[in-house]
Amino acid sequence: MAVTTTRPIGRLTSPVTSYYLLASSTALLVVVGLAVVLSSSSIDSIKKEGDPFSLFKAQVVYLVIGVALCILVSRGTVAFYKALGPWLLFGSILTLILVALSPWGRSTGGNRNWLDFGDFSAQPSEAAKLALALYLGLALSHMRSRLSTLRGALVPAGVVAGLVVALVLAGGDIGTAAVMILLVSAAFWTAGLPFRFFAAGSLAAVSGLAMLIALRPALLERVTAWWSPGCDELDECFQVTHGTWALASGGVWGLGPGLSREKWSYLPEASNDFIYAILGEEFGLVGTVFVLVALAMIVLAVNRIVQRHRDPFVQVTAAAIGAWIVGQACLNIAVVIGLAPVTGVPLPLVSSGGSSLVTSLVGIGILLGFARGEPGAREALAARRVRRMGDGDVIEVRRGA
Amino acid sequence: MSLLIDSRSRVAPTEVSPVRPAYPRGPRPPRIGDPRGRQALITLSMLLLLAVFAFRLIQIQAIDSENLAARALDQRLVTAEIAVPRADILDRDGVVLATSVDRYHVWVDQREVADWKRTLNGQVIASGPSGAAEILAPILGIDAGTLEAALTGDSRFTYIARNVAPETWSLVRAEGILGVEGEPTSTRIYPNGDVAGNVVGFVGGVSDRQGTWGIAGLEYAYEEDLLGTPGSMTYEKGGGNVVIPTGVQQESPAIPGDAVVTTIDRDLQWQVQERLEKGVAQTGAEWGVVIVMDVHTGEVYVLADSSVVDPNHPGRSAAEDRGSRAVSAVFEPGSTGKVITMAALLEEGLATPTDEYIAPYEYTTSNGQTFHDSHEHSRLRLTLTGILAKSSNTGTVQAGELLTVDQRYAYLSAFGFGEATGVGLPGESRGILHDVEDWDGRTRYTVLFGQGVSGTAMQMTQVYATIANGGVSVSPTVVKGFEAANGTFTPIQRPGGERVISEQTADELLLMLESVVHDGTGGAAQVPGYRIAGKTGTAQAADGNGTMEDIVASFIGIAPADDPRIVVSVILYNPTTTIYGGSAAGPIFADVTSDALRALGVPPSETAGTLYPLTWG
Repeated sequence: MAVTTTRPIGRLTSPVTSYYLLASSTALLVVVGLAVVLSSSSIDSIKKEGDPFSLFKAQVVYLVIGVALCILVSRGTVAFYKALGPWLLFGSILTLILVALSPWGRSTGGNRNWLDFGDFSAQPSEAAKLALALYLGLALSHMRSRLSTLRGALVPAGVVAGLVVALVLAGGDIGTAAVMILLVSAAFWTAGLPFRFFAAGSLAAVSGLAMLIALRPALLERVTAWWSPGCDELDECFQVTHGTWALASGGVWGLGPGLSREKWSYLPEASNDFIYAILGEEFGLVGTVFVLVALAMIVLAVNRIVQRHRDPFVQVTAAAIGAWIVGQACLNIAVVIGLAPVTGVPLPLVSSGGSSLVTSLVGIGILLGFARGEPGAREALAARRVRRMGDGDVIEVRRGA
Repeated sequence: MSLLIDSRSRVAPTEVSPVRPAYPRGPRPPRIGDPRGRQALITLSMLLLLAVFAFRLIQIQAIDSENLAARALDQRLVTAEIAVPRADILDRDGVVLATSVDRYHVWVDQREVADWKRTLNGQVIASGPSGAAEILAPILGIDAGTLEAALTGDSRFTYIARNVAPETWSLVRAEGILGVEGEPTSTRIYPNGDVAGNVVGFVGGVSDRQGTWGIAGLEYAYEEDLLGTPGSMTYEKGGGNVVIPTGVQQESPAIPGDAVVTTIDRDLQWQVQERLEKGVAQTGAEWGVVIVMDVHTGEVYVLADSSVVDPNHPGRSAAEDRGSRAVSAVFEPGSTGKVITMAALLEEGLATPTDEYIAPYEYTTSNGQTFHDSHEHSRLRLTLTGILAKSSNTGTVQAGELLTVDQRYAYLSAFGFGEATGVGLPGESRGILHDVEDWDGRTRYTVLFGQGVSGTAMQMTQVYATIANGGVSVSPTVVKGFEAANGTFTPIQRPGGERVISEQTADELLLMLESVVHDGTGGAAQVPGYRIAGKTGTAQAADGNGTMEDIVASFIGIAPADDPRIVVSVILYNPTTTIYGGSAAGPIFADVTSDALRALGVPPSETAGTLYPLTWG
């Protein structure tokens, strides 16, 4: 294996590449995210709470909790993740039902997706994404050989996934439902569900969408507004127009940290759904492309995990988490840069909001755990610790690995 | 694909092999895919999507960036005027007659109020329009229900209270209710109410432009000086009209206007207004005017109109009472105009104060025009002084016949008829002085005793000031000068006086006028301790129907006669108790002059004058 060190892409083929790709991209996203959350939330925070740091302080607390959970989870074993799945799913379904039916359920922006206990509130749909990824990994790896039948595909994985998506849709949260459908599709796809099911599924999705639009004409309006060239900048295209202006004002190098103009009560959801626009305004093209690069690093890391693991649970779960985090990021960015109609999903790891940040970090933690479980990774990581302590030299350590 | 699929994994067998069909000829059963191949497809499509995003970002942030950013900046950039408060109007001693005070218009963004809530120990204690209305209603003094209605809705800009005092606004702001904002503005107030309201004027809205503008008086006439030059600030505005501190900012400072310092003495003005109001009531006159003017400088200490406007509430006055009749009302001076005939006769050497005439009750001129005196009397042996003192029309015509028609015109013109005085008030009339060619046979003579020619009270005052000033004309003014914001005072530019009659003529006229008060028609105008020179007047004026039924009774006097300081004119329109200037206007003159002399600290006359004889033989 000494050959690895001399090859130009040696780093890429190192057993710990996935681990470091994930760790560095995540660190980059949360740090940039925190800076932009501070900037973009300050004006709104002053207006609403009288303290420019009120939202930022909460975000720091969530980040600390999220990072701690991320590190903790990344030390887990595959057995632990397998055991975690069903419990998390059970809890998620229960809380989603509470959102839909209990008096603690609360709506924001027309979507009933919050659980509010006064001092503490959370979005159970965020945790449900994580639960789905773990549970589908477990269920599909068990049922893989029977996936060629409709029954095998639907029971239990398809039915459970359908139930969770239906609960989220009941609250009207199309954005989260869309991300969940991405996640579920990726899980089934990676598990090896035959093509014809996907063809049928797409057909069902299209007809379902048509039905949804027929039921809620407001949705169609949102889409048609986005498509039509005469879209009113003061009305239905207000958010997208200001998002584009923010990006353009940033130019290549950005206006500089804290210097966004659009955050001054122009761009709604500046620290949340449209944080990418503020990021682009303050850090320019350099900043926005940096975020894309970080996302690409996560994509590559997930790919490596799937390629290098033999356990279908790991493969399916990793693919699902990857599709969730990167897919949601793509949906968010597509909206901001005007390539998709407004859906209202946050940018994972970057946007403000505790539920999203903590569950995304736990998802990353599981991916890190998988990366550590790649062949040779654990040994390499252990060896590096030895090297840091000053015992032995680099080449010898690699040879040993 | 080799990068995405680990080459070493390829040799490893998949855990689940595709199920082979039992019957080769049957339809191919579905195949279960390989996770690694499938994931590679996901990876490829995601990377492709991210590449598309990168291209789109390059388009927005690099290629179209300038264009879009310019449009965005254009939307944010606003130029706001930095208002500068209208400068004050002061009396001659700096007492404020008109000033601007800070006020606030309170407005709301109704959508933000809807989101507002106040929490105490984690409990929401007030929220939304109803909560905000309950808090603000007692502060603003508006009914809570009305206020709640004004706070509710989708409007992003609605006024809820206008011209709120700064202390009230700070109470409102201290409540910190989301969406409630204050817009600084300024309001004009007149702390002395109607005192000199006719001079100061007032402000209000006009139909062809926004804002508050001078409508009458000095507020109108000196608007440009009072306004100053507003500055401007160009800045990037955020939502809710806040200034983005990190954005573009350009400021050009405002230049404050100059305060107008009037010649009015506030206290004296008040006293005179009170006296005039009483006099108008006692005589049953329609209106009256009193002017107190410095004979040397032309500065008007008092310009009193009856029924004077209160600039704080101009709407409460009738339209015709909102200006000053002292400069706008035109009437024939009558006997007060005889002094011009006397001045011309003396100046041209055609007569002396003691020349002897026989004044009949009725006199017919060489061109066959017959004139009467006001009271029937026998033939009187009067000196020229006697003619003036007894206000004999026949005597005046008889003596004035010596003047050519052109001379009559020249003196009327030289004393200021036919030309506005330029006292500084808007709406000033220049009176009526027709060309000589337009004078008919009768008018040629009536002008000798102040009929057939018209002027304002201000013009008549100017005539007497010229005599009192040793024969040099005086330009009346109600404006002393301008006080800049930094305190420097600039006197108003005024034309210099011109000699109209010689000093000797002026002195002789003064003595003749003293006889009017001492022995003649003006006895009621006497002021104890001071020698007074003056002239009574009663003239007909055109009434609403154009017939000469209305009466103007007047007294114009100079005090003290031995060392003139002030001219005081009292004009009463249509008095009902008496039509004679002496009895109607004289007492008001006496009181006003007495007050004015005391206010100005003028010492009493020490010597009695040696007056001309009024009669002969």
